[in-house]
Formats: sequence, C-alpha cells, structure tokens
Amino acid sequence: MYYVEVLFARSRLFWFTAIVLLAAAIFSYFVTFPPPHAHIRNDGQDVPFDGIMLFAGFFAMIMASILGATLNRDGSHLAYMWTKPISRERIALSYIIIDILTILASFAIVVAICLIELAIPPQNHVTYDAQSGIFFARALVAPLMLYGIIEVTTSWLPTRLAAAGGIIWPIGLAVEFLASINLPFPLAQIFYVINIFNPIAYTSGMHGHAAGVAADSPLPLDFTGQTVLAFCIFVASCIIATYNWKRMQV
Amino acid sequence: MNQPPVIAFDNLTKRYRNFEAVQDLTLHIEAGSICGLLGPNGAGKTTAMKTLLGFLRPTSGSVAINGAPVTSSTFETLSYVPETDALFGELTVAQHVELNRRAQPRHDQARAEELLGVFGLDHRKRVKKLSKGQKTALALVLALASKPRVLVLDEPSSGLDPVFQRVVLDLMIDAAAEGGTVLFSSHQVGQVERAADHVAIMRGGRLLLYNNVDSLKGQEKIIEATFASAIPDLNGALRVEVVRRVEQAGNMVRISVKHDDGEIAQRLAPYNPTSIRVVDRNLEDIFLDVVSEKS
Repeated sequence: MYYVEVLFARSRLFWFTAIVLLAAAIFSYFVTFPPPHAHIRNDGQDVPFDGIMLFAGFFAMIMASILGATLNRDGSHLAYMWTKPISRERIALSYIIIDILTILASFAIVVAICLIELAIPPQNHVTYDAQSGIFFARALVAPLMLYGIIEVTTSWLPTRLAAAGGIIWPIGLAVEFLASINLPFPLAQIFYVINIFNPIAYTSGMHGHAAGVAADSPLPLDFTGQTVLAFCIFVASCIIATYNWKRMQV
Repeated sequence: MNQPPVIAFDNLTKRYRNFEAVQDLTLHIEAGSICGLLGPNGAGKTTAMKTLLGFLRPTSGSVAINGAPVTSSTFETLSYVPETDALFGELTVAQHVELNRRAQPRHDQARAEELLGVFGLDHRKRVKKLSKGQKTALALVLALASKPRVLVLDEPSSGLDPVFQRVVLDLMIDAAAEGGTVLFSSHQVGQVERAADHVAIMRGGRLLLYNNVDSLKGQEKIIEATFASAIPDLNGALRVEVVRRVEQAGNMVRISVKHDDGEIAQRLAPYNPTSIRVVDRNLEDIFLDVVSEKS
C-alpha cells in the first residue's frame, strides 16, 4: 500500500520544491538587481550555520504539517486498505517511513537551496561552532516531532480531520505562551507538562539558541536533552499512532 | 475429516452501547456456495460482514474463514467489495490496478484488463471523476482480478444500471462455478433469487432464516386460478388445512399451499376458472412471509 503514500508524498514534495525554488529565485533577483533605495546587502558577510538550520527546519515543519495526519487521512479507504494481504502495522509503518523520508528530503532541499544562494558571488561565508552538530539534530527532530504529534492525535479518529496540521500551530503557540507566564497552581503545572509535548515550543527554543540568547524556555532539560526528548516523543508518537490505527473499528 | 465451512459466524453478537446490531448470529457457508444476505435497512448485514472481515471486534462469539480467524494473510484469497466507496479519489483507474498488482500476490493483470473492458472503464480517469456505478465496477474489477477463493460483497450492484447489475451477478456465478465461495448482501430480492443458491434473511440483527433457495421455493406452492370475470366467493372451497394464504389481484386468485396434491384444483373446478397453474413460490414471497411472520 506504500505506493499510495509515495504518490501523495511525491506530489507534495514537487509543489514544495517548486514554491521554495520560486521564492529563492525571487530573492536572488532582488539581491542581484536591488531596487533603487533598497537596503539589501550581499557583500560576503558571515551566515551562521544555525540560521540555515532554523530556516530549513521551519520549512520541514510545514511539510510535516501537510503530511502529519496520514493515517487519519486514509480513514475512508480502510475497507480497501485493510483487505489486502499486508498487516496493518506494516501499512502504517510504510506510510510513516515514506513521510519521514519526505520531511527529510524537504529539509535537505531547503538546505541545498540556501547553500546555492549563498554561493552566488559575492560569496557569503557559512560559520560553524561547537554547537552546530546538536543544532542540526534539533532542526531535524523538531519537524519529526511535529509529525508524530499530529499523527498520534489524529490516528484514532474514525472521521477525517484534515485541518489538524494547521490547527496545531496556533494551539502550540498558545500552549507555549500559557506555559511561560505565571499562572496560578495547578494551571501552571498543567501547561508545563502539556508544553513538553508541544512541538512548537521546541522550535522556539531553536530560535533563541540561533540568536545566541540564553534559553528562557518553559521546557525541562538543556538544549541537548530537549532534542533527545523530542526524538523520543516522536518515536513514541509513531508507535502509539500505529497501535491506535490498527485497533480502530470502522 | 470434515472440511470447516468457508465462512463461519458462530454465536456472533456485536453490541454498540445499548444497541445490538447483530444478535447471536450463527451462519455457516460451504465451499462453492453463493449466499445472498437479505434484510431491510438496519438488519445487521453490513455489521456482520465488517465483523467477519475484522473491521469490527465481536462483542461475543466468533467468526472464521476456512476454520481460522481472519488475519492479513486471509486476504490473499479473500476479496471484499464494500458498500461505500473506499477507493482513492486522486488516483486513476490505472493506478488502482497498479496498486492492486503490488498489493495482491494473486493479481491477474490480463483478467483486470478484460474486466475493465467489460465495464468500459477509462484507465486514465481519476476515481473522483467516476460515477457511483463506475466506482462500484472498479472495486469489483480489483476484487475479481485477485482471483479470490472467497468473495464478500456488500450491495455489489449499488449504483449500477440493470445491464451491469446482470454482469455482476454473472461474474459472481462464474466465481462460484470455479470453486469460489460468495457472500453478498442486497436489498433486491430478484438479484439474490437469480444468483444465490442459499439465502440468509436478517432483521433487527437476528438471522430469521438460512436455507437453500430451491428447497425453500419448493416447500410451498402457489396455485394461480384465473377467472373470466369477477372472482367468485371461494371461501368454502379453500377452507382446508393446506392453504396458508389467499391473495386476489384482478381476476386472478393466488393460493399459497403447503403442498399440492391436486385437491385445491379439484375444489376450484366447480367455479369454472379459465386457467389453473401451479408455480413455485418466489423468493420475494418467502422474504415477505419470513419478515412479517417474525415481526
């Protein structure tokens, strides 16, 4: 059944790439031929690697939102999908693996386009530091966690919730805000715990880190620990989503 | 050693909160049989089928295919055509056939092409552009292209025009002739009568009757007597134990009898009917009798 998801993911990746390329082309045009009185600089300045990762991670999160509710999306096709000699676990896992590869591909495409943009003369210089490795990991894990959370919250629903990938953004921002302000007991504790499972909070952490600002994050653990936690939540979400989906009664 | 029934429901009950969609259903369908599942809306036909296929978990009782619980490997030889459209709207007809080829080890491409031709389905057309009947036809093509040994169809002729309804029934008959076993549900008694050798009648979640169609039809006879003008008062002539029911339509009287030994014809003779003929009961009579008797 992976064939269906390959076709879906391929078409989404095609449009994603086309839009990113178009945006890059427009950006390049304005950098090369800046309009009069515009203050666009492309004079060989340093560009931190973390900035590219943040940028690629954000775009990969958009792709994760598009792909996130895969199992829920195919809820109306279960009478067809579940009557093939393929186990439900295998169907779900093949879907998830294809989606993960598509998210990683979208990340790689954005990174590649950024590097090409920066290579256009006069060249900019990408700078790395000791934290670049973990930042790279975080930029990859955040979209995966977003994907996992959307998947696990929608996989058990018998009716389609197509808007889940969009709804999660404002909800995530609201939860992060509520977790970061001083609410009375027990609301503060409740939102603190909920925020641990909020993928948007892990993205904000990236932004602060990229800007070199000391993280005032409502998340537990340090930056590396949060990244490992996000990965664990992603893996657990995919396992629970698969279990929910295969146990669904339709 | 006795072969287990190909399709077996044993004391199956499926309950939703306080509502029992299927109640204590026991039904065994043997190899090579075509069983038509009849019943009004809400009879429990679709629930029974969904439980058989593993879409629903039984509240109690069990289901089995060839004596074993249903697993993914069951679907190597079992094909299902659901009542609702379960195909992928964005995919074309050809992509669905390709999907079936990849997912079904027994997929027969030549058979698929032949059936697509029978139903006149355009390979390039997206499923969302097909009519309801064409979607049903495509689901049937995919089911039959997998060369199933067991075919489960929920309202298989839904949305099809009468010509293609006939084609579907013929395909089911062909499948059974090749040793396959077919379970199909329908609202149309005529379809079941034409294709099925066994009929199961459900109502309110209960199985009211399961029997061989020919045997059921032969159990009682209908004597049709036509009169030249108005039907005379026959009450005296028909007050015998073998008579189950008397219906009048125009100048014709239809008398249901438990068996026909010629007695009724002899009793009608003095009233000078223009013709008397004895026919088997049709399945519609049986269905209406069973459903009204048990109500």
